[in-house]
Amino acid sequence: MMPVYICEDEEKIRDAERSWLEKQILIEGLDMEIALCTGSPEELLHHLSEEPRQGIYFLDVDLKGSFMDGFRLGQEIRKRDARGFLIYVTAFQDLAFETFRYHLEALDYICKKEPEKMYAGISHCLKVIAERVSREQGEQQEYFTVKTLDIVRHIPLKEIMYFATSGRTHRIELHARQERLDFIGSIQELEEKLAPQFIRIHRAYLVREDQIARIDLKAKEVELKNKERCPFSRNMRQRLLDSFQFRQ
Amino acid sequence: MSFLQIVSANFLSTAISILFLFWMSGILLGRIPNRGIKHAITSILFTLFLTALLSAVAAVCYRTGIWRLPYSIGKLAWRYFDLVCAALLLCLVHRASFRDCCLSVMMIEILGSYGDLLSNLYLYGRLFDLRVVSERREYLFWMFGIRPLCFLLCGLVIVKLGLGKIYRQWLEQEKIHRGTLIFLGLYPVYSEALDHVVNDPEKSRAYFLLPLVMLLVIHMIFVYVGRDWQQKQYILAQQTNLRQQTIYIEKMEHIQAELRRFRHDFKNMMAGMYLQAREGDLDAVQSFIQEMTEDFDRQVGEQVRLMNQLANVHMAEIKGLLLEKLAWMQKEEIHCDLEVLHPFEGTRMRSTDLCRCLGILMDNAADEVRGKEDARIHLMISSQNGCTTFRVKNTLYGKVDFQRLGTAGYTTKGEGRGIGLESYRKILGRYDFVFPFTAIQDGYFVQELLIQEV
Repeated sequence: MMPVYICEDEEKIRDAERSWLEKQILIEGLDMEIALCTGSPEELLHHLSEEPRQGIYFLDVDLKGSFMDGFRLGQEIRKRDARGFLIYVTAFQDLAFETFRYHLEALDYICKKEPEKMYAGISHCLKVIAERVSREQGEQQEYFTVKTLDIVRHIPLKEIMYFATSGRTHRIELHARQERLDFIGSIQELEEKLAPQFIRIHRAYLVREDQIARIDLKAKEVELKNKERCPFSRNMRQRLLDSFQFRQ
Repeated sequence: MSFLQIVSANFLSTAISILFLFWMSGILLGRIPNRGIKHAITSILFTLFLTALLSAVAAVCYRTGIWRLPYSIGKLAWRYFDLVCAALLLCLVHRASFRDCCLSVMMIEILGSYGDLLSNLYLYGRLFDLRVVSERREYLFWMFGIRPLCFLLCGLVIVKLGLGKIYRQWLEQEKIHRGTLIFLGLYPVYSEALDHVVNDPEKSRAYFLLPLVMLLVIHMIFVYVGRDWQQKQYILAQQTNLRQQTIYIEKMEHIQAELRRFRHDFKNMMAGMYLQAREGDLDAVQSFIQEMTEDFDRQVGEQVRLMNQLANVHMAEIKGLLLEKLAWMQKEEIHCDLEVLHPFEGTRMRSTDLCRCLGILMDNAADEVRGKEDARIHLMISSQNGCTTFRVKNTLYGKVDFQRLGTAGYTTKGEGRGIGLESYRKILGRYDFVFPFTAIQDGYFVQELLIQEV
């Protein structure tokens, strides 16, 4: 059962959120329970330290009487529950939600100025979470986790086409179907970690083997399924031909 | 001495000069080459080849008597050959433009002459007979002991004076005065000419005069250029400031006009609501309050919100850029949301490069959504934990060949375009602490720039 946490400094709003959530969990038959309803972020963090598990968090942005605001609370929660669902409940429509989403992977934000909209927002969030959880349970997707400075991204492994070293020291370029990013790493370590799905066709290129569409022996290049081309080294020629013929 | 012995001796002295060249170029150009192992190996091999080549050519010149040609023609040809080789070496090592490398080499030549000048004080009036072992030893001690020490001393003085920064400011000028270029370029000519004129040991004190005169002239050029550059920067900052103030005042006037309009509507709405409340129609009162809040947000709230976010941008150049772009987008009826949660004070990236990169990203986003229904751009600046992020996000309407983005000539905007993202990538290529990210996510085109600040 997934725990639901509420951290809201206004008692009336907190009670309204709680009763609406309880009602929704009951009506929709969701596998969730209200684990804690509090006005104190410290209490919430203490509770999480004792029982760390994936949860759903409805958090106020401007927490009066506390040394931390909703953003800081979100950061602390992320340290304890990396996969939890954060939903911000705020009276301010000018909440910098993209920043919250970017740094904390927040799911949504709900405006509490109008009760009807707040209830609708809560119901919508619960629905999205229930769908996402059931989807995650069904799929066995592998992810490649990459950290660039303080940002962590999870990219589905099947989306990655190849890795390439750039001209600069320890800089790796990740080329995915619809993503491209730079990070600090070692192609040697990546090769060891991602074998056998990825093969080192060149000193500077680590390519997903099943994405190779064509081998251009004359130009010493492979063409990937997305039409990108990568060079291969001479000693990889036979290995590439063998694996290509085997696949066909 | 045999030819091989001359080449070997030359190799050592050339190696010392090249080490001085590397050290000085690092100070003057303000960078240490760090482009991976392949680049390091290529640079080392090319340096060894060039050292050997210069040593051999110098030995040939010495043996064939080219250096003794009348009017120092041979010496001059040799010096320019040496300078061009050094410039090519710097081009390879620093990946800087040939112009910058030539100027740096010329500057290092002049600076190096002080090293030579100091070491020559030891030799003052002396001629060595290299056939005599004791004199040869003394000569070698001067060549490989005193001379490198003098170069080291010279270099330390340059570091302490902070000449590198002034030099870079001078180099960054779009157009360097032609007279200055000729003056610097002809240094070997008049140093040789002076040497020729005062070659008489009686007058040899004048030999030390030229580098001192050059030092004075270069100092004057730098002071003049530095002051001129500072003035230009000051005027530019004033102009940017003025432009920002104008746009800011326009925005404020716009908000004031909206507030006046809202006040008028508000009075009418309150009168209506008063009647509804008296009749006890609570639903109508609620819907009135809702409408009023929405109207306020639409008419005034958005503008105020935007200005609140802008107030968190403390870097004048970026604030100026944002104000201009936001004003332009408003005219083009493109809705732009700006988020700056924490104050953004500044960044390690050069402000001109950052403005260019951010300008390219915002222009591209605006080009994509302009004229489209519900055109929206979202810009986020986040500065925290020693890292600054610029994130530009726009709705994607057309199809983008994601793999070709950023390659030369690829564009979704018609002929003659498509240079934006290419130059964006080129600029970022100069920074080791900047990490770009590009993605198509949920129907949005997202471009990010992550800057490591510590």
